[in-house]
Amino acid sequence: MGQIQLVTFELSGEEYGIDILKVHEIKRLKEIGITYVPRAPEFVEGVINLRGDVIPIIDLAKRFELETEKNEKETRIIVVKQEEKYIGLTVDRVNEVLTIDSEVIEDPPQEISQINSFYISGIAKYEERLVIVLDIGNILSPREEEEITKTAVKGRK
Amino acid sequence: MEKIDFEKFKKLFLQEADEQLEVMEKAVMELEENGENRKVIDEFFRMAHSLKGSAGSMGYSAIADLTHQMENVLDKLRNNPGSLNDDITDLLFISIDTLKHLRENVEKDIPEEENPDIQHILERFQDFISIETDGKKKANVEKKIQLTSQELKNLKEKAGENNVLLLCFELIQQQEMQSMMAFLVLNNLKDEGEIVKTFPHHLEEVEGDLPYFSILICTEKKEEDLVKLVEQTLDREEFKVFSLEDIEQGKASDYFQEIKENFSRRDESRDSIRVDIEKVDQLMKLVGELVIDKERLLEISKNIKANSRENSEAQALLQTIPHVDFIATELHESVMDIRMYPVGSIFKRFPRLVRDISKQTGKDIHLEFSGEDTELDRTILQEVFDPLVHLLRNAIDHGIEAPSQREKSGKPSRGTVALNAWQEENNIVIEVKDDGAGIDPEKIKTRALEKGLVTEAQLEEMDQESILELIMEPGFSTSETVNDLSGRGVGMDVVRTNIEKLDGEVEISSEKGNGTSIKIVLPLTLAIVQALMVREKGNDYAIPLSAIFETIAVNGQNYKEVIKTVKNREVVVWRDQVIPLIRLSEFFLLGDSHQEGFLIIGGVKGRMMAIMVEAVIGEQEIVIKSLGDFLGKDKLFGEIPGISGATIKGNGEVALILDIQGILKSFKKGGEAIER
Repeated sequence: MGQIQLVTFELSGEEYGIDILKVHEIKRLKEIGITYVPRAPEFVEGVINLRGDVIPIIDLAKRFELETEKNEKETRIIVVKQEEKYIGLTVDRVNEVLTIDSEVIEDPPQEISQINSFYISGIAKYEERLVIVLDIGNILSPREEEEITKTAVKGRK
Repeated sequence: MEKIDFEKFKKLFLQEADEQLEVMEKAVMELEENGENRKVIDEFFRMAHSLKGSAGSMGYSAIADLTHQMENVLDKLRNNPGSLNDDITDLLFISIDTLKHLRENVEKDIPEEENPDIQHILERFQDFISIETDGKKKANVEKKIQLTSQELKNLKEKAGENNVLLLCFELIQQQEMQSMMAFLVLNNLKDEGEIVKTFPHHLEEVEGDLPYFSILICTEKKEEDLVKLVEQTLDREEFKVFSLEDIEQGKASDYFQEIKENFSRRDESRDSIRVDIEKVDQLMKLVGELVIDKERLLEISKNIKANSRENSEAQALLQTIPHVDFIATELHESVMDIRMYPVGSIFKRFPRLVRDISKQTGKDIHLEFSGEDTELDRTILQEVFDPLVHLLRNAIDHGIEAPSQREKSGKPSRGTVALNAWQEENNIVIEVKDDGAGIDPEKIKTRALEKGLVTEAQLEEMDQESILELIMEPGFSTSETVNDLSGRGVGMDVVRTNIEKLDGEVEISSEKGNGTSIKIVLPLTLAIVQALMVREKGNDYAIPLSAIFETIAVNGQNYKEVIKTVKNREVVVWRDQVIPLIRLSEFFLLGDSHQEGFLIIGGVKGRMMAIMVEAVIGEQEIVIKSLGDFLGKDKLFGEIPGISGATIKGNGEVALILDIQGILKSFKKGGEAIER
């Protein structure tokens, strides 16, 4: 029986998780000077210097088209690694690292969350909590693909 | 050894050989599929070694010889990680197949003399073993002209009415591009007779230095005719011709020995080492970091200057920093220099290609080169090969007309394609030029309209150059349409995309009936450039200095003089030219622009513009960081006109690099930026 570790965080009142193996580091938003990238999609907050590499910062709430009120003090950037690229995701608050049996993660039912199921790889039911496990690859897929899948794919990819 | 014992040993040998061959075969497949792996090579080596041992003790000399060479090549691989290539795996496959064959012969008791000839395989091994560590083939300095008595016998039989001639070359004049000269000579000779042998063995594949080489040819032509032919490429003093008799008498080998000695004497005077390119890349990366820190130091020193005139420590620091600045710049240039490579190193791969294409298309093509020794950053050079192949193919396939048609239009039936390279300020230009039919702008217009790439109105406003550039639009031409139009659009969008990735650009000029020139303009280096830092709405942007002509401060006093309005569009009159004004904040949708600030006059000749920014911060060296992973079609950011990359400022924050060409292009496409 395999176990999985999730970094869980909050976004607009819901709890989400990312496989810890994908997470490179977590930074405070306040610590970094983000450079705005003009004419980029709205969810792109900008780019930062991560030890000599220039990496993008994605506003996850905007990416999911969620309403959110930011409390800068709690806002964190989760730097994930996807296909050898580093990318920062801003989240409202980082909660904890959760170790669960991978069996607990179920396929996402449709319309479980406010966000498009395209971004979800599963739902973890843990004690009384419901953690939405994200599919990092899809979050970082380009604009156009997203448009296609919004209309064509409903349900798990 | 008694007969019975021998049979027993033979059985044992065969058994073992089966296992060893199986492991070897698996190993070579593993190497081919997953690349170099020390463990696999070691295992392979062990197997080859034990097979060699048992074959040797049993007297199976062919197997022993072959495994011995395999061992050598594997050992070479172990000592030079990264040198594995397809040729080697091919050869190993062939060897294993041959070993299997030899093993069968052992089983069937076929005498050693009747084994297949493995000499040619052994020779190929010999070539690999003499390869230099970086995978580049170099002439085997030790190799003499040697013909076995069998080969001499064959040659004599062949000779009959034909001439057997050995041409020995010593390239005295040609210090650069030696292997290319060898290739050209060999290519010319190929048409004149049968090339029996060359020294070094794979003459066509040798790259780089090749101070001496020889070609053995069997031809109907007379000696003097061959000499004339070779003289088209090389000076007479650079080669000697020997007859079959001379070879037999050993005159040729003596001569070869002599030039070899000459060469090694000459070579002693200049020392060089071979370095793994990865090490140079690492060095470059470190220099990049140093440049960033250096800029930071310069920034700090400005503050110190103002604040601490009295502090002697601070003053000492201020004296040191300019030196660090100087050293960092020198260091950067030195490392860049190491990375520079002559473009000839890729040009020399083209004669063969051109020959093949001209054969396919039935066109007679003369390929010319110039500027082969123009140097370019190695990384850029590698990336530019494919686009050049594409351009050459297009030039021959679609540019040059069929011989009959050429004659009708009064041109020589033989078409000329020229590959030219030269340096132009901070750029390297590589041009593919043909004297073919040229591109018909009318046909381009029709096609572009058909494909819905432009509207009539847009065409009206376009100049000749922009019209030609339409062939580089994605979707302009597909392979089905190759033949109706002069077909230049096939894959031209790919060429442009690849070149733009390198921060370069593609320029097309063509005259209907008189040929086409396509220029690839590339930056000298990708890594570090001089840039002007500007500020707009709280963000800093870097503009490469190479793209800037002048900066003009605009204030309440000169505003009306400098900025005018023509047809509802703002323009700047600069040195008697009317050029479009682009306000950065509007272009980037950052909000309203301002009345005061700075105009950055930039672009290339004929395509200039003025960009209005809030403030100019100053010049500095920037290290270019690619945004290629995120920027561009189908990527996270999508396409963002006007941004080509990013850099890290002295304070550790990121600044985006402006792409003047991109801004202008996007602006030209109907002023999209302003209207949005």
